[in-house]
Amino acid sequence: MRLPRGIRRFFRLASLTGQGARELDEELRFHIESTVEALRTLGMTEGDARREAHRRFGNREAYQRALRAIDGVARRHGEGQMVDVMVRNIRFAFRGLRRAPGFAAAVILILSLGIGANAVMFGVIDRLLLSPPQYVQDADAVRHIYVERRGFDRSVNTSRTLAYPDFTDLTTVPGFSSVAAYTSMSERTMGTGADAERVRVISASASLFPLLGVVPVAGRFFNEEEDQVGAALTAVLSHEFWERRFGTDADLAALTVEIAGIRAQVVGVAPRGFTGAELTPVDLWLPIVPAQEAATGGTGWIDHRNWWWLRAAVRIEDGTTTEVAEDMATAAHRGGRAELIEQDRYDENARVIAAPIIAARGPNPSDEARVARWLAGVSAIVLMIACFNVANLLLARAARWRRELAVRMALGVTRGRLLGQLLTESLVLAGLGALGALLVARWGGSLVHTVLLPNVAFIDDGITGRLAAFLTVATVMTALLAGFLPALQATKGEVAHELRAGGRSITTGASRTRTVLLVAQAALSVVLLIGAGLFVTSLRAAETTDLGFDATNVAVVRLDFADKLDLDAQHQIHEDVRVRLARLPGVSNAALSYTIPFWSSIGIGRPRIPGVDSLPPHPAGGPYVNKVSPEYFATMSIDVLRGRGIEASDQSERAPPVAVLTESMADAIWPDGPALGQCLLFGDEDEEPPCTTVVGVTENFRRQELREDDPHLQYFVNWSHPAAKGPAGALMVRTVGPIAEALDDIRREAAATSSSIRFPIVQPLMDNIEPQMRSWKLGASMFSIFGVLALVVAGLGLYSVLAFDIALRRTELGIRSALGAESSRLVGTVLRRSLGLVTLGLGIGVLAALAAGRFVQPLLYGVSPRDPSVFAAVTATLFVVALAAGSVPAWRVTRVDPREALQAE
Amino acid sequence: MSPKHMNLLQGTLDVLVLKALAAEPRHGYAVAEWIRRTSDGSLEIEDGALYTSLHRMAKRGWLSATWGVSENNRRAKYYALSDAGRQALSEAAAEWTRYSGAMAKVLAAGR
Repeated sequence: MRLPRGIRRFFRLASLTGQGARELDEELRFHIESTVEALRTLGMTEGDARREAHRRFGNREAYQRALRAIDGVARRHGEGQMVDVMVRNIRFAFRGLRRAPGFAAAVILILSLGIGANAVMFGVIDRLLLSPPQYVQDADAVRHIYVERRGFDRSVNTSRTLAYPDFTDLTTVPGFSSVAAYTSMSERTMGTGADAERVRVISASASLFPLLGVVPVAGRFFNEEEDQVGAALTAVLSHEFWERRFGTDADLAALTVEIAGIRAQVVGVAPRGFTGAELTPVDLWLPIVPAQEAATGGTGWIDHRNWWWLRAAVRIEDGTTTEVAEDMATAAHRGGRAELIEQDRYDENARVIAAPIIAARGPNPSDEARVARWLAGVSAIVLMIACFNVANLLLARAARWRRELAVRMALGVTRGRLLGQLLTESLVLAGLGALGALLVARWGGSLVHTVLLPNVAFIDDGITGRLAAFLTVATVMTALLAGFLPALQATKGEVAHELRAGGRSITTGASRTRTVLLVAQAALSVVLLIGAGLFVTSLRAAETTDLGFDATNVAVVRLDFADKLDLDAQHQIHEDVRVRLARLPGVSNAALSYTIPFWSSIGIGRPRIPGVDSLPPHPAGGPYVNKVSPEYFATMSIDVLRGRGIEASDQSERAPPVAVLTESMADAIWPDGPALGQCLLFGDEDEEPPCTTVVGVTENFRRQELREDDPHLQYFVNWSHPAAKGPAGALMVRTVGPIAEALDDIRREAAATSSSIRFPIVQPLMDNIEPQMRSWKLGASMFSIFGVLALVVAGLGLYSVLAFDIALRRTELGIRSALGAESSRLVGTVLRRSLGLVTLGLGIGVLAALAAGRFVQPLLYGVSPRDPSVFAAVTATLFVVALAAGSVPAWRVTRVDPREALQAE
Repeated sequence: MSPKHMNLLQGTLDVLVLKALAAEPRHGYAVAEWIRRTSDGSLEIEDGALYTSLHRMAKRGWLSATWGVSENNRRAKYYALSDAGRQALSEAAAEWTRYSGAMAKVLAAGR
């Protein structure tokens, strides 16, 4: 029966091979039979003739294989040809790896780590720098709005924060097809009492969802009618929150959530991983107008131009260029603020910028994004080191294989074919490495995400298409980079020369290549280790920065009130909570405070000073005021240098106003004389405000940032000070033992104080400070991991090269030892070579690190990019590794038995 | 290394095979016999190596192969020189003559 053509073609590969094999068998059988016949006519017995025929033919099996290979390769235009060769090469590669399992395991491990590290960093880079937030359609046209303006201190800053009327102005810009406003993520209390929990909320205008082009997975998003003054509050849940809190089979129509005491009807659920126009995870979306109305108890913010609280995203109209749209928006922005500009209270040159939706590409990229960029480069270096190393191992093995390869070339296997086989082998190795890399990426990725970048919503479906594509490209590149040179070297040899030398010929070319690769590895390791050293030092400097106060074991307690209370009642509850918390056995001090360090600060205008023209301006603005209860200084460990702090007697309604200044502020106003007893005036001149007497001076302390090198101007006033009205913003509580153990007690005690408290928010003060260390933490940990990885890999490479050299030089060493060379001198030879290679790499690496230093400088803290102790430590480490890598081969030199080595000739 | 066990390298073997086929098409066994006879048995060539040479040159296009019937009426694969093969043979023969002449001269000068 004849098969239809298509099916026959499908089986063609198999049948062709089968037919070819049969013809070959027939041809050779004819040859043997003819030989046997001829020998028998010469008088040989059947058996002798057959044996002689086979002897003359040679190794039949080997020749048959070679012949089949020749026929196979030469079938150039046959269909399935490529597949045929590939399958054979892959099988060949696996056979080779099975023969050397230790070698295979080492290479696969090195590549797994190298490729895996890159996969992890690609995930980070992709999220921060390459991909827009999830579900944003046609993301190029979607932009974040920034305003570049000159502040009161004349410095230009670019900010994303707008007032509500600025948003309204933007909606009139014809260059934008759509404009949305939203707040940054804030935590709010959901529910009351025991069930209450903190949820991550963003308020957004109804236009945000259609602007981004996202579709809800259940229900709908809130609409324009629900985003009006007076509208009943609605809410959209994130998919994750919906699942976690209510279960996905909950009936949406019956679902309400209570946010900060206001019920909101749930109208829909956003798709999994949707985070709006930002990357921070969100639990709940509220319509911005009713949410803000509820939060502030009014609508004053609608036309308040100095109330900065929201961000804006826009979609640029098709056919409008960014420049034109920005110009239009700038005109609208200045037009809206014309009155303020006229009064010289706003910068007339303020300019609107429509920056990419990928925030890390915008005007103020986060330090994490900048560090991530570096780390991507670093992980590429790690992969390069891994490649060099694998190339080195392959070269070493290729040298051992040369005789075999030479024989095969003599048998007529073409060089191209051998190259194909060797490259296939490195591809198989890299492929297996990529499989290992998936494990590394999975595990390392989740570690990096949760520990180092907790505020970024990563897509955790594991392997995205982009990651898979990246892995594929990385794997192929790795295979070529690691395999090409060795394959070329291995097949280059003069066949006859190789055969005669019995595979013992030391190919200087290959050896030189290996040395160069090794030096490159050492140099790259040095660069990474210096990077690690600099970031670790930065982190340590950041952690030990003298903030001016002691934040460890200080808790910040904020009260979320269930009832509308007047200011006095709020103050009374704060005071009650303070008294009760101070009595807790685990608490040493509790104080009231108006503002919270690294969280909020406030200015109440610039005080007038009799006899002094005006307070000199400070680049950071200010001065910033805080209103505190007497316990504050002890609670925060802020030292009063001169005079006194705020005292109990200053707290009563009738107490005269007093102020305690930081040293920097005192020196700024009275650089020459004492500040104590001086007078500050707050409020308008014609109101004839009372003198606020300076009663004390404290040490300087940081207000907002670790990087405040120039101390900001700050001062404290007493609680009844007429210029600073309002209840406490928070209680500061110092615990006796570790803060983590006391948080629950503090929360319980605060909640029990008054039924008006919906939820006491209790957080370590370090939570405000710690995020600022994240970029150094990211840098320090990743550079360290990569640096150590590189060092280990380079160390192994050094060891293998030295060991291999010794193996090749056995004869020479044997002769030298036979001639009476002392073994200590031979050991010295080996160690000198090891140290020489490392020193060369060290030199190159140090130069590269010095050159790169200029660029990392802005990412470091409290350490110069040329820090001598870091460079010295890395140098020492490298030498230790050089000695360690050289010691085993050196020891082996002493064991070379001259007789044995010479007899091997 | 005695001439009897002269090691043959790839290129050399190819020349011999081409020469064996220069007069008429032959099957592999006949090629082997021809070389053995012509060299008085001083060239020890494994028959297998001969076949790798035949197949390689066939694929290279120097030889064409057809199935025919042998003297003793058996099916056998016959090889014949193609034009490219003839060209290759004359080039290789010239090269070898030049080479052996040079070698002979050098060796003679040593005496």
